[in-house]
Amino acid sequence: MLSDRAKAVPPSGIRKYFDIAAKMENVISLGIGEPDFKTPSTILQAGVQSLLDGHTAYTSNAGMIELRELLAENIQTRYGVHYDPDKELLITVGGSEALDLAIRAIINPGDEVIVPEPCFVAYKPDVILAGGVPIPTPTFFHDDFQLSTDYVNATITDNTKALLFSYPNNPTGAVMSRERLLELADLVDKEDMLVISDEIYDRLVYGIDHVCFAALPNMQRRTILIGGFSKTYAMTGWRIGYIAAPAEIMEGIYKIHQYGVMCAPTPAQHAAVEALKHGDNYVSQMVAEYDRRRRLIVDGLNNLGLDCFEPRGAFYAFPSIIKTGMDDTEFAKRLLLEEKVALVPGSAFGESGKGFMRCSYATSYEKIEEALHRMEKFMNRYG
Amino acid sequence: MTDENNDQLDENILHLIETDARLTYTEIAQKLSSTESQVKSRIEELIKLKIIRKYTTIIDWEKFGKESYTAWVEIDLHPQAELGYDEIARKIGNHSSVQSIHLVSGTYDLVLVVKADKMRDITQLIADILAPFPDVRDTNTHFILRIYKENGEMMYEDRELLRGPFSP
Repeated sequence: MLSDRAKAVPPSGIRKYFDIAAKMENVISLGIGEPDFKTPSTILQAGVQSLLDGHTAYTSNAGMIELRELLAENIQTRYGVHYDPDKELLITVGGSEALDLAIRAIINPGDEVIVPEPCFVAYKPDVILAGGVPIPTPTFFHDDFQLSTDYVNATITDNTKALLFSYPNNPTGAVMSRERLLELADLVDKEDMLVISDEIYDRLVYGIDHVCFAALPNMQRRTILIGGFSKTYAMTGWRIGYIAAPAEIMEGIYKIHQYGVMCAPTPAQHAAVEALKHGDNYVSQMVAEYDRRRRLIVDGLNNLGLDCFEPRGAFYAFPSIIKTGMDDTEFAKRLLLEEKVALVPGSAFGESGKGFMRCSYATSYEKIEEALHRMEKFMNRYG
Repeated sequence: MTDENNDQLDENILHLIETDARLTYTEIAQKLSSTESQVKSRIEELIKLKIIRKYTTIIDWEKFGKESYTAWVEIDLHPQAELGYDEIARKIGNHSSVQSIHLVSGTYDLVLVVKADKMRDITQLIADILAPFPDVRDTNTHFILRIYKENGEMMYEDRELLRGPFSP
């Protein structure tokens, strides 16, 4: 009954732990890839008010022009890249739709997309569902999980169409240095490739400046930039993100979006307008709190003997559990059943995530403290 | 550390404990990238200088189940009042049921917040409070019916974020 494409993608690796954890009480979950903050009140209010004011119909397919103009200004201010709000910006149903659109707009059957791992769980399935071939390339602990240009180079074939990556990274928390990105940009130019740069975590960086891939020399015309409001403004449930791309690519993206979903949710667009206008204070408060937890969890994990490089972005720490002699799925299962702490095994994010655990610090400081305490007991038995 | 640096640190500390008086020295130090001992010494200094006047609590008495009544009392004093505003405010302030006294611009001169367990006590209290001041020309009392926000705190039930135990 099912199509070959639907059959070709595996079920999400996170799902089975969800079922176990859902039946248990008193579980502390560091397995959640979304903010623990509620949407800031004025942003929330703007969304609610828009409904009361009668904005319950579709917007234009590309999204409200006011929102696109504010977004263009925002990207220009932060990264010095200019996008034409009319032809180069599109408001999407979260970063997820943006990702799917980007892939479907450029991939023909058999086209290869290089996907550095570990990475967000949807990348490979989205490429497969578009008829493309995902080509995983590893990143490593000893390299702070930065993408190596040599490894990318080694995976390039005649069929290579694009490179798809996300920094700051889910699940590792890694960021890319400007030098590394410039090396990569040279290769992209030389090999005439496109880049889908998922920068959904761009505002969640600690002690460094985020480098936007489209802002690198000659890269805007090769880049499909994905961003969103979910992580920055704690708006995951609103389903609102965006895509910025050269007009020529946007033409294709626009059509798929138009026929697929019409437009992003209208109240979410109104809330996003408020976020761009007045949301900066909320962002800095949330970032400061994430940073405080980040220092707690990274120090805590290293003290338990779970080696962890310093993640500079997103809200994840990615410690190695190799010393315990367990593989990451066994570790996750035992830790959940014995100490009621939920983590996601690194292998859920690709081959090179094996032997690591994704620990989200998008949960309260006190809960992280308690989780570390429980993990200490666990490590006393198995460390 | 220079005085200027101290001023900035003091201001940051004050902002933090104004919204959460129970933050520990360690937590404050972490949030402000300072040290526990420095935060401790600054707070002790701020208490000594009476810049930090008091640590108190915002209580939802209604939720606790205890009835209480609060009223705003606007007072218009006769322009020839013998006593100055300062003196009048000091005397009114001796009543423990008076929560606050503000000198304001506009039609009335003083606005008091008065609190009592029973509604009729408030009327009596106002009479008692104002008895020594024959120059009072007019009062205007507003009983508070519902408190939505108090000292920066929304007083309605704050719902927790609802989310699942895992997400990618």
